Amino acid sequence: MTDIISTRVADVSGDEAMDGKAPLRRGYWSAVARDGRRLGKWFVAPTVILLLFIVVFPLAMQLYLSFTWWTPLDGVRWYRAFESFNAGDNYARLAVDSALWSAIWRTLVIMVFAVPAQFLLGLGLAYLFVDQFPGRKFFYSVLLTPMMIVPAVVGLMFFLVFQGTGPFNHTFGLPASFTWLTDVHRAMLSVIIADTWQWTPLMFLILLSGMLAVPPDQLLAARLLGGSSWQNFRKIILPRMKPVIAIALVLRSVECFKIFDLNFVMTKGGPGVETETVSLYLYKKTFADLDWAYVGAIGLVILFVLSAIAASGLAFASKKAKG
Amino acid sequence: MSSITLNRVTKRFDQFTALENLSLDILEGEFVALLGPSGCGKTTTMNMIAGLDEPSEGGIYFDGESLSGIPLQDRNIGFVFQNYAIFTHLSVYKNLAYGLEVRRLPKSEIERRVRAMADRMDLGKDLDRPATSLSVNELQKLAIGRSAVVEPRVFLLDEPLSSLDAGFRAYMRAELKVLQQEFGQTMIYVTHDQIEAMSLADKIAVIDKGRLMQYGSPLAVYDDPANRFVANFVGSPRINLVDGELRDEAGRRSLVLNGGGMIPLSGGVDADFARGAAVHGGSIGIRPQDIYFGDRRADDDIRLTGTVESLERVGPRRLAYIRMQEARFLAVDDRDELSVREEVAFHLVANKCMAFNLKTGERLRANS
Amino acid sequence: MHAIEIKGAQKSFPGFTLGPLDLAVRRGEVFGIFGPPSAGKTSVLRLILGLLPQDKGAVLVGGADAASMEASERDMSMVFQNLALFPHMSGRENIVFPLVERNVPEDEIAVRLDAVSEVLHVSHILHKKPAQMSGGERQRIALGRALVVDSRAILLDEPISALDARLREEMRVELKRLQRTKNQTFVYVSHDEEEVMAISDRVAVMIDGQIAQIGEPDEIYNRPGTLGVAKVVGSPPMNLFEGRFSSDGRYFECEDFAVPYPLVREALKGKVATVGIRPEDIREDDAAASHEIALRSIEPLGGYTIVNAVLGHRLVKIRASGRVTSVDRYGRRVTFDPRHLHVFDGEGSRCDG
Repeated sequence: MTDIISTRVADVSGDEAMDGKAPLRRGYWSAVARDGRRLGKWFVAPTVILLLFIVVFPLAMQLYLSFTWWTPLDGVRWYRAFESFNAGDNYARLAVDSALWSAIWRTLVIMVFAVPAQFLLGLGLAYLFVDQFPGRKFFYSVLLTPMMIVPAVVGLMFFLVFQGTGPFNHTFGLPASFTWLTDVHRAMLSVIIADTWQWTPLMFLILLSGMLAVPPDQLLAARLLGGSSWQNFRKIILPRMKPVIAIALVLRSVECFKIFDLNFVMTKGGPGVETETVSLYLYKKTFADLDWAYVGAIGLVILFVLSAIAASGLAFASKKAKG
Repeated sequence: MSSITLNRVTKRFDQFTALENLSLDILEGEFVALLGPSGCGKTTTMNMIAGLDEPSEGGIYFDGESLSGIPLQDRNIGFVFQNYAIFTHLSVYKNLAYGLEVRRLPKSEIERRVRAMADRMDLGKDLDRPATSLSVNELQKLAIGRSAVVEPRVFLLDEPLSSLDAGFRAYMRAELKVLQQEFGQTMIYVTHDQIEAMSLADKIAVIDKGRLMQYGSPLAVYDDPANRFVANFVGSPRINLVDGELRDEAGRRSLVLNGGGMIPLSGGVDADFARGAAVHGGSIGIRPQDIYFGDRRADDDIRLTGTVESLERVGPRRLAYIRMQEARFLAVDDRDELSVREEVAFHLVANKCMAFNLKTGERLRANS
Repeated sequence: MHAIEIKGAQKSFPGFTLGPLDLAVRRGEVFGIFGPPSAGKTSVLRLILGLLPQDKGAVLVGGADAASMEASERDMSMVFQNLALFPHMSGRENIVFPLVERNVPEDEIAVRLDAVSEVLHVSHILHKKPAQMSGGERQRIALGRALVVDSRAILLDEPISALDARLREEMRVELKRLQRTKNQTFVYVSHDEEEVMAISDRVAVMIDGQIAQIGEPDEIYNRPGTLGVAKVVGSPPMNLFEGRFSSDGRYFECEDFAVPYPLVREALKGKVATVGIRPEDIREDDAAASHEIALRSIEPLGGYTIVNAVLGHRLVKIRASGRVTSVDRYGRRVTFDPRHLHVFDGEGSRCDG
């Protein structure tokens, strides 16, 4: 390092500075600064190191633990978990865990209703926002607000709204006995509604940017050829949006699968286990049963599956985007 | 195929008047160029014919029927964009078929018409290829074919050759000309390049700052410009224009140029200026090919002297820039004898000189 | 000493090789480079400026090897194709930027700014920001920024392409005048062949990354050295006929000529060749050795007329001086001016005598 320091000092004080021309630096760092790629690597390095600690290390630890019977109640430190090595028993267990699979089923049900609802609403809203109209900027910010609220707070909001004596029932003249959060069928519906309310804006945002990327003169050409708005939408806008739609759906689906805050705050997974999603199930297993190794195994399997889905969706999107 | 009439069309954007009282009569099957510099209003005019915008005043008529209130998609207009606006995610076939598909024609009919058009455009073998795989030449044909297949009443072309490189353009002009003759469509062609307008159009509408400067056949606009702007804009190489004050000394008229120098008037141009008795500031226009070196050829021709400033090769000709005090003349050096910094005598062919009123730009003619 | 020299420079790109290039730009000259798009013209400028390091060969600036010189040390100004104006500065600030950076005194800055803005007709928009200007105005500000400095050389990459046809002609003349008065060295790159030929003292024609020919515009126009050059110089371009010489080398035969054309080339006996004739060198003529043409259309351009006709199977363009008012008014037979025939051998090189 000393040579770098000495070079810099020499640069500033030398004859070059008297020329009226900018003094040119010749040390290691100036070479790096000139080469865009090397500079980029140095900028990224701190984040990579951080990621190593935050992501890679915990994942490795989880993988390690998932092959053991270890729980914190054992009394030994986690790195000695190899003492209760079980070679994949946790994985065998999760395959037949009916509580887990019911939770997965319920999560999928929420996903299958919430994501398409958000998508269609987002698409419709995006279409409205393509052209200028008075107040567009204002409505745009209003529309984005739900997304900005902390999910737990949204949960609390809908908890209050969907009370038997709450504003929803009151507005629609429904009796207090017409409960939402404690009803076997309607609990899930309320969670779906809450999730849709919060995340439609994200769909809207992504889909709007996809729509705006459609070359306007091609749309104009389509109109001049006699195409109606609907025909042009179907034949020009939608096909060109395929990569963006894929990204939006994949992103939201993966996130929706992990839904936790909303149902935790609104129903705590109830009534009974009616709205117990995978995340909630894992939460209980982690903090109530302290079965960390088992949870680790489940977590890794889910990570693997969701990654595979996301990767194939994104591959599809980038392939389409090139064409 | 329709005729198009613009009747006193005016268009205002807030404080800015883009078009003022523009009236134009375009006959069925005519190829008309809207020619003018950037911002003159030619694109605004075209947008209004297409229906992208409505006139603030005045009306536009197809075959006598007013277009006001008729939306874009119902005007049945063929439009060729500057960058062609081909549907890049579709095949050549689908591009050609688009206009027919949105009209819900039966599939067999669509197929028949698309194939016929593709053959005419020499794209028959490319029908199943993605549109993006075509060359620029073929893209232009596709753009025209796509609009033509729905048999529009009118074709609007927005500077379709400007994205091509210079050498290519010469050939594409010939192609366009052939296509227009084949279709016999009424075509309106917007451009800022007067060579394109001259070579392609039946009639040219020269527009500047929202006003129609002149409307006539290319040669009429070239030979007989109505005002100084038209004379300056049309013609390659461009016309020489020298400005100054008219002086009458003992019956001999001359133009005293701004910045020194004097041109004695004789012949046709003298008579032209004589007509405009109240005119003080005048402009003389003379085309480079109407200036010659060597001996005087006609008694009326005006003799001047100057220095050769530079020589340029433009295509097959050499052009000489001659400086007479502060004024500059561009002349064709057809004898290839001049050299830079040489003092030369040159002559202006008197009856090819054009006289303009400097203040209004209006052309002055002895026998009008 | 030349202002700029390139000796055997070469740079490989994926799928394309630039060079080896050899050229020398004299002080005070306008050196033009033109060629079809993607011929490597902009890359040559970047090589000169030092933004592109070459694999082999040398670039000399002012006689010295530029390998050790940074781009900023080479004392050159550049007008970029995409202008690269500073969006947060006004027109005035953009133009005087290089002078301010070099600590030029205020009064001198004002003088130079005035001179340049008058020539470029931008005095009335100096206070605007680039976003408020039209494309043509922006281009002129970019030009101003490069011209205001007394650099060793000014590199111009399509500097007037965004302007209207008419404005381009005027600006070209102004640029030339400015260059003459200050005796600056210009390296002018454009794909518009007419523009480059008109403004340059010498021209390098680049095709596919190689320099096909260097010479004065007259020379390149009258004696293109290769078929490639012949195809890109001239608007409308040269008419070309591919064919073969007879075995005794006295006649040229091709499928478009009804009879073989008497054109003696001993060196090309029996060989494949291409004959070219410029549109202005074709004349109406009923003489014995004339060709029959079928007329297609005319383009009346005022001072001259382009006649589009078919000779054999080929579309030829003929430049007739004066007026041809309609297709019917032009003759049915033409001859080629024998003094202006261009012959290229099978490899595409020029072949005389």
